[in-house]
Amino acid sequence: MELNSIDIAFVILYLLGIAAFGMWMGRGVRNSFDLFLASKSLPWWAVGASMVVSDIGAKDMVGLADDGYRYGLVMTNFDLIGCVFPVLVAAFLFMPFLWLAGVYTIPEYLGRRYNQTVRVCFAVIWAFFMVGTLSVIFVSAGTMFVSLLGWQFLTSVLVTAILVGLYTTIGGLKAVVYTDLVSCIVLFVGAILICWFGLQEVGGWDALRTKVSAIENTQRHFQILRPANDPNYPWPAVLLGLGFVLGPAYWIGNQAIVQRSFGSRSPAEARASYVFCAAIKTVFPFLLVLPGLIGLALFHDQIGPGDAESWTGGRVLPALVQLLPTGVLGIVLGAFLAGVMSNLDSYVNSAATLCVTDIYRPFLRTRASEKECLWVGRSLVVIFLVFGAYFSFIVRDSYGSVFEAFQQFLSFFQGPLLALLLLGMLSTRITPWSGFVGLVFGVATSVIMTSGGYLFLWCAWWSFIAAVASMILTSMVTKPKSKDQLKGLVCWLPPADTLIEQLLIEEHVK
Amino acid sequence: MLNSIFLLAIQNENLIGRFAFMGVFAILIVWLILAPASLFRDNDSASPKPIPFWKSTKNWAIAVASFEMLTYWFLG
Repeated sequence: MELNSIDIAFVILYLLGIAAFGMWMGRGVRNSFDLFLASKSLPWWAVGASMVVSDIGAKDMVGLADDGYRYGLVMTNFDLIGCVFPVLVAAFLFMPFLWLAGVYTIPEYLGRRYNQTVRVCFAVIWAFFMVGTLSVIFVSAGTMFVSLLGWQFLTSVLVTAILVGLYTTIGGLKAVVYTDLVSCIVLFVGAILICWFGLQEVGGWDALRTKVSAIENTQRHFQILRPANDPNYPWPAVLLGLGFVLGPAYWIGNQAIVQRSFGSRSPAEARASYVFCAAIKTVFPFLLVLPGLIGLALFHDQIGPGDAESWTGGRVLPALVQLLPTGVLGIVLGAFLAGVMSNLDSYVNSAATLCVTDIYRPFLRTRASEKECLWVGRSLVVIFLVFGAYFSFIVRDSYGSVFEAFQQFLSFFQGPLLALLLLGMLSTRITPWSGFVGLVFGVATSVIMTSGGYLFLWCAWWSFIAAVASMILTSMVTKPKSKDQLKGLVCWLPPADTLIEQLLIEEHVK
Repeated sequence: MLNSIFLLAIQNENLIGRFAFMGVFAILIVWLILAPASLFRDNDSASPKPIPFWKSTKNWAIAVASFEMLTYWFLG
C-alpha cells in the first residue's frame, strides 16, 4: 500500500502525541494505589470510553470486518446482547458494590469471598492469558507497521514497546485510561470514515442491500438473529451462551475491563462509566461489521465466497482501506494503531496489577511497602513488554492460531468464573470450598464438551450450569462464612459504614 | 387467537427469537423501574437535592435498553 506523506505524518504524530499525552496525564504517581487504581480519581466518561477500546482492538476491527463479510449483522450480537445487556446489569448490581469492597482485582474479591486457592487459580489464569496475548498484539502492530510504513518487523515491535512502555510504566492506570479515551475517539472517527466512503462507493444503503442480496447464501446477512437450527449462530445459543454467560463473565470478571471502574471517583461514577460504555456499544458494532457487508458488495469477485472452506481472513478491511482518499487514510491508520496500543497498555497494566496484588504481596512479600509494590509493578510492566516483544518473533508465522489457542484457553474458565461471581455476590449460603469445586466441575464440563465438538456457545452455557449445580451441592455439605465475614462481599450485606466513609473521604480530600 | 399466534410464529421463524431478545431487555427495563432506590443513588454525597432527569444513570440505562429492543425488533 502506498502512503502519502500527509498520512505518514499523521501516523507518526499520533504515535508521538499519544505517548507524550499519556506521560503528561500520568505524572505524580507515588505508590501502587496511584499506579494500579489511578488514586480512584478517574471521571466516568474517560473510564467508559476506555472500557470500549480495551475490548475492541485492531485485531477485532479486521476480524469483525471479515465476520461481517461471512455472516453479516449476526456478529453485532457480541456487542449487543453480549455487552449492552450484561453491562447495564453490572452497572447497577455489581460495580458500585465491588467499588465499595475496595478491591484492586477480581481474584482479590474471589479470595476474600471464597479462599486463597480460588484467588491464586484465577490470578494465574488471567495473568497467563494476558501475558500470552501480548505477543499476538505485538505481531498485529508489527505487521501493520511493516506493510504501511515499510519499517522492519524488529523496529516496529521495538517502537511500539517503547512508546507503550513509557506511558504505562510512568503513568499507570491513569495514563492508560486517558490515552484510551483519545484512542476511542480516533477509532470511532476512523470506523465512521470507512463506512462513509465505502457506502458512497457502493451507492448508498439501498444499493448495498440489493448488491449483497444478489450474492448466493447471503439471504440472512441483514438479520441480527439466525434461526434456531443455524449451524454457526442459532439464536438460543447466542442468548444463553453469549448473553447470559460469556458476556457477563467478560464484563464483570475481566480484570482489564473492571480495573478501570475500580479507579473511578465514586460508586456512582463507576455505575455511570458502565452505562456510558453501553451507550457507545449500541452503535459501535454496526460501524465495525458494516465494512464487511460493504466489502461483500464491492470485492466479492476478488475475495470469493465467505462460506468457502478455504477462507483466509484479513483481506476485507485492507481492500476497503484502499478506497480512502489522502489524509483520511492517515486517520484510519491512526485508528488501527489506537486499537493496538489500547489493547497492549490495558493488558500489560492489568497483568502487572494481578501479579503484584494477588501473588507478590499476599504470598511472596507480605510486608512489602507501597514504594516497593510500585517498583515491582513498574518492573513487571517492562518485563511483560520485553517478554511479549521477544515471543512475537517466535509466534509471528502462526499468530492467528496462537491467538485462537489463548481465546480457547480463556473460554474454559468463563462459565465457572461467572458462576463464582454471581453466586458469591448474591448468596450468603455459598461456602468457601464450593468455589473451588465449581471451578473444577465447570472447567471439566467445558473441556469435555469442546473436545466433543460442541458449539462454543453451548459449552459456555453448560459449563456455567455445571459450576452452579456443583457449587450449590457442595454448599449443602460444607460450612459457610459468617455474616460478619461476608460484610461488603455479598450485595445484600453492605460494608461497614466506616469503610465507605473512609473511601469517600479519601476521594473528597483528593 | 392461539392458532393465529402459532401460524405467525411458523411463518416467521425468527419471531420467537426476536421476542426472546426483546423480552430480556424488557425485563431489564422493568427491573430498573422497580428496583430499590438505593441501587440508583447518583449522588454519593448525602445531598437531598434531586438531580435533573437527564443526569440520572437509571434514565440513561432505560433509554439504552429501549434502543436495543427497537434494534432487535427491526433487525431481528
